[in-house]
Amino acid sequence: MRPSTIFDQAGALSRVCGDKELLCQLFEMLQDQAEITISEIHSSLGAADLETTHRKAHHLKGALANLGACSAQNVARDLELAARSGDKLKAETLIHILEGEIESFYLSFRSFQDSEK
Amino acid sequence: MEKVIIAEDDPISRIIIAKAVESLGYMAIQTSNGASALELVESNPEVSLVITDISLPQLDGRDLIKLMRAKPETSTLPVMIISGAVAYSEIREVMELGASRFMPKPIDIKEVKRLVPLLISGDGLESKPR
Repeated sequence: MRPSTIFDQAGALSRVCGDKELLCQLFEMLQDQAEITISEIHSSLGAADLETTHRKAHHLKGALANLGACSAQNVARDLELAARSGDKLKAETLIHILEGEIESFYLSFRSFQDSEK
Repeated sequence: MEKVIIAEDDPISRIIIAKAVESLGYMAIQTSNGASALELVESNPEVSLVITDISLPQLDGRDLIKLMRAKPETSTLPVMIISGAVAYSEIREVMELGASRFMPKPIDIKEVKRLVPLLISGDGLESKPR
């Protein structure tokens, strides 16, 4: 079974050797990157360009994984697979789910930031 | 100072790897595409290792390895492939092309710190360049 944690705090911190400052810097970068990529995915789906959707979802999946955003990472992976298999309808559903999962991750991460201050 | 080229179009992964490489005392040279990575390899004789994603714009990791292995100057330079794709067939493909090591994403700083010195010294090679 795939992990479904919204934010794998321990795993994310472990991957950066406990460097919380670095993790927070990466989180800021992720927010900028995700906003752009989500917009690009919407555009590519609107243009029925599933190859671009696939590529963008793949990149977003990797970025989310680095930050321990497990649930969002899993949805990004499903979106990547749907796009690769040409299932536009499923991809259109998944992008909305992905946006929700990313928002949940942001909330969880910010809570972690606040609690550690 | 020995140089390590990092070819990765995801800036977050690239920064994590660069932090790890620099903490070991190497100079990290970062690029987001394969064509630029090849130019950097060819113009920097002090390069000791190339770390590259498989999926890259302009020239992907597979073609980067093929082109490097085809030239005498870079035919034995260690190459560590990183990728979120963990299908065995894909790992086998890049290893057969001449990659020295495969490391799955998400990037783990500890693992980068462990593998980079091994690859530069030649002790961490899983496959010998052809």
